[in-house]
Amino acid sequence: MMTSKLWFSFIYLGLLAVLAIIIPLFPQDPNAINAIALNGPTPPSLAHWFGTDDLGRDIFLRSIYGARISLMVGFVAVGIALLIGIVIGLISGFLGGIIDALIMRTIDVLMALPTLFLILMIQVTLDPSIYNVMVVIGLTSWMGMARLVRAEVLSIKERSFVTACRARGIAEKKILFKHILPHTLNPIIVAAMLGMGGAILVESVLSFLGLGVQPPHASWGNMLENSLGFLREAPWMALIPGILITLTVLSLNFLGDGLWLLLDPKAKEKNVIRT
Amino acid sequence: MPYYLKRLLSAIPLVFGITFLSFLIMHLSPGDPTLMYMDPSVSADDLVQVRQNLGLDKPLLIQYFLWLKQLFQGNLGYSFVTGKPVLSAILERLPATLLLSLSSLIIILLITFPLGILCGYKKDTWVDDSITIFSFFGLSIPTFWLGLIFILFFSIQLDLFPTSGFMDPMVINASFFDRAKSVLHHMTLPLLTIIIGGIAGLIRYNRFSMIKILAQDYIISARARGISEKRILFKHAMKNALLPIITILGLDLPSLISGSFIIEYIFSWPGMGQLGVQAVFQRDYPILMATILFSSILIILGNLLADLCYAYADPRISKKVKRLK
Amino acid sequence: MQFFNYTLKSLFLIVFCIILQSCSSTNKPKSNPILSLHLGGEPTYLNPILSTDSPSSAVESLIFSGLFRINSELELEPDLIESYSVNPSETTYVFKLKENIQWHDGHPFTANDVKFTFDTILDKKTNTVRRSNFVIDGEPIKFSIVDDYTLKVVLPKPFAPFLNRMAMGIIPKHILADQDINKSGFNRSPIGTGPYKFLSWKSAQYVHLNRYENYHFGQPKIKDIILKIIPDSNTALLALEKGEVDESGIPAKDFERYSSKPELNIYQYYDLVYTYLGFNLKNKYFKDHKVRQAIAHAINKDAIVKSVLKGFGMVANIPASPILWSYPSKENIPVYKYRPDVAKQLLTDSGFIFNEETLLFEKDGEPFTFKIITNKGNKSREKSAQLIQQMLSDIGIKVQIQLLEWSSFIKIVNANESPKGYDAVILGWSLGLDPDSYSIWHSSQYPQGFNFIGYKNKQVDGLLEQGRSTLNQDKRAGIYQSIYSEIAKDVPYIFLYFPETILGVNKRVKGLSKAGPTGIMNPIQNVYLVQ
Repeated sequence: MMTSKLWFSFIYLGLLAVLAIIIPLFPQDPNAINAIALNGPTPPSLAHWFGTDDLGRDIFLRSIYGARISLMVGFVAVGIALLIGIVIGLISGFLGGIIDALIMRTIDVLMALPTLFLILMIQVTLDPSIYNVMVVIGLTSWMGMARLVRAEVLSIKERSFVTACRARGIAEKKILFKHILPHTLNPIIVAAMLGMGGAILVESVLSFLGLGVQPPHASWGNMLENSLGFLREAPWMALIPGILITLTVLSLNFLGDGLWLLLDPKAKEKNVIRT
Repeated sequence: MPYYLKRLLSAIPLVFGITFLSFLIMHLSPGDPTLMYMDPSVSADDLVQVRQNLGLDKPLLIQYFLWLKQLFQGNLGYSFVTGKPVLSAILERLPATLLLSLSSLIIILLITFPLGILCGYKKDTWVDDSITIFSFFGLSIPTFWLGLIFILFFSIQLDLFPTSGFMDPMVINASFFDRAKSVLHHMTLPLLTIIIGGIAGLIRYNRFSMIKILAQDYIISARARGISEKRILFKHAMKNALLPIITILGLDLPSLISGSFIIEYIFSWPGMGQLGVQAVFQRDYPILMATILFSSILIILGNLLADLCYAYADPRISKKVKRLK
Repeated sequence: MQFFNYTLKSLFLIVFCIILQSCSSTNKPKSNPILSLHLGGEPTYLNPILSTDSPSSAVESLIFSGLFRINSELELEPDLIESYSVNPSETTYVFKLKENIQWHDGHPFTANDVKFTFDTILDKKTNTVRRSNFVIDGEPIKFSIVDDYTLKVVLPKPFAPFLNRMAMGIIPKHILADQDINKSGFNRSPIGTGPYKFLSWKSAQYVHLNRYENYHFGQPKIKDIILKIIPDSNTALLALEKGEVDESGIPAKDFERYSSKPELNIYQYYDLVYTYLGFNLKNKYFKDHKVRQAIAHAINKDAIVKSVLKGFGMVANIPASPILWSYPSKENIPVYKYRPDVAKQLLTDSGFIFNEETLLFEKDGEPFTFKIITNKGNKSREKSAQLIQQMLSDIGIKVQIQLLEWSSFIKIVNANESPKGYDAVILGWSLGLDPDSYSIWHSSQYPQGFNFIGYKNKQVDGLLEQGRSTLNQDKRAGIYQSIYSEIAKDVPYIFLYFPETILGVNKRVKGLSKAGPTGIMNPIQNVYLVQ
């Protein structure tokens, strides 16, 4: 069961990634509009597998370009969150004391802010662009990561091998990076997978609200937004990007879940709330 | 209770930190409420005057302290866009949000509790697998898209439910029963959307806690003593599985009040979420500040409540919680 | 396992009951005596001197009356006044009010209310953006009471748009005199002298009105009006189709489907609006008249009207509206034809070189690129922007598009600085009934004001001033027509189109007027419902 979920994820994500890399090598413009002979949305056909949108643009092509955006947002946003989260989590967990308390209280403040509100507020401050979306999602999602790393560090710190290192007089810095950090990697990888799914969902909401990718460039979110006026006559305009988002996030969740079970044999007994 | 008292007290600076931070971010965003309406009949001089009347020309810190001062006098201020007292603007929207979120929460609990436990009990069978896969879907579907699809299918194609709104205004003079029926009718689709998005996490959670409990020594020994499966499930396992639910409820408190804005947006549900988002776009600072104030207080209270319930229900844990915090 | 079966069963039962129950309520009888209209958003203040948004004014027009009203032919006609006179120097007006008019609460209406209304607007403490409408060259208009039913108004100098501005809704002094009008509860439960009384307002849901029996033009025929707040136009359209609202705008793309509905009447009309592409005239490229002309020749406006408006509208060439009395006859309108070859020639003439490799025009080694900004949420503008992007890329100009949410957009365009931080905008203006467009084109309205492109033409400035102070309509028409052709020559904007509004109205609504910017139910008291 678990393996079939993992296989599904690998195949789907692999296919998406390959298409996202290959398709732009062909000289087709996903944004090209035929201004004179505009034919509104047309249903899926052999020429246009996913149909066309209201400006006569090929939805298959646009979906693939949208996949590039979504995957990129997932990677970069989670990358930023990881970087900040790991550094702060390590510092907080390893140093402890007043610095730890200070960092934890700050994280409390940041986590108590309603996230989507926060993102919305920052996003209206900045120029709407895809880079800002990545940065904003990254900057608002590292707190969970930091807490996770800190908790791991705290539990590892007490283990015998760390004490043994100390006894042998190994430098604190070395202990931290050589011995503690590697042990925190497994939960981080899992959290990163789930975080990517989350980031892709947030991006789609932001683009749906018009605060993300700018036209004529396609993202799944703004393709959905564009479909609103055509729900009845062109349901494929709404169905296709939504299905793609769902499958992508689903694959990432499967991956995260599967990896978690693979990497942590005790996971089955653990009681974990994912947020 | 000194620990919890201490935490409660430490939450006060937290709330101020949050409001100050939000205030800063908010005022960094370009534009202000006077820019909402632009047509050639409005002159620039008028905009300057209105801005001055609203106190928007004052330095940022002064504006924040004026807001604080007002707050301590028990006044949340007046909306910049409608002139309405902020408190009444919020109270007006609260019932719709509460109705939707409370009923969705109850239904979610009713569904997830038995299903999660069933999954845990029938671990690794086809029942478990299919429910798990379904719950993964629920976790992955963008809720706003699901809402759109429901509108497309149930409203447009099948014409079973209205596309949006809270109540058909045509029945305002009708009996209470008719009005309730109209609200229910309007509520079905948003409710369904929230439920599908919401059950996933809880099913997984319940499943895990059930697996954990069933592996506990006392259950094993109960089985060994030949106590019936039914009795084990209801008497021992179920009781213990309730515990984490309480925690989740505490953590969920804020979202009960703040509402899911994207769902409210899609279904034009007249709740808090819509109010807040509209305030972001209209730069209606007083409304925005109040929304943030309320939701952050609720988040902090919710966390605290979850801890308290947990400690109360299981005294063994309270020590551990203390150590971790 | 019985437990699970039981729970599941009862759950399904509950859900089923809910669905069943609520479905049965769809079959409500169609014969309801309530007129159900549609508001495109939540009203802000139900007070004509404070609000500027169209949902509010739609409600206010039913509750309040002004000294004048605008009829469906777009002419001013007396509303609260019996008659008026003006002195030969055209600066002193005397208004004779109708007697025996009562406010909705029974209090008599007098000249005190009128004076109070305009004094409140002129009061700096009032958060209104209408003040400058009653200030001419820095001097406020003076209102004085002669007797209870006679009002004298003194203007600093003759001012043509004045009478139009006296159509402003009058508010009751006896209620508001000792209140802070900005925060008064009146703004949410107003009292007026108009055809309908305010009953209730449910935030984000509806406004409910009741007819006023003592309305001075006679009791309205329909007893109740409900104005439903439906911000999303697609949702409003569905509501129209389901009979949940009696009237809604119809997007051009849906025209065919709705025009064949047996229960709907469809109306088309031009509104007082135009959409344009405006250049920041301080931009290094757009300073050059030839570059602007080149772009004008490169844009196929017919294609935009055909695809964006699906043919429901017409190409615009001047800053007016075809239904405005100052709109010139066809042969007097300067036109830039779609001629890509001419556009390329003009660019070459102004020093651009076409780079065969990048397929872009270049100047000083830099490719010609610029950014068009427009406000997010207006689909026609978004589509026009994308079409223009395509057309300009065809001749070798690279365009980027940025959609901004309204406040950010206005902040850039309306920043009190020069030069401003944008290259070009796509926007629309909605005009008043008076062709005066001083605030859009006069050079004094830059950098603060609506001449945000920085247009400066001494001749136009002079004509605009002359147009405001001339009262004779024929003379004014001549003045504005020369303004239009002068502006069209300069190409500060590329005027794109005049959209046609399409309105669907349920056939059960009768007694309608000619469709136009004042709606289709003007006056409302004549409208009635048949079953």
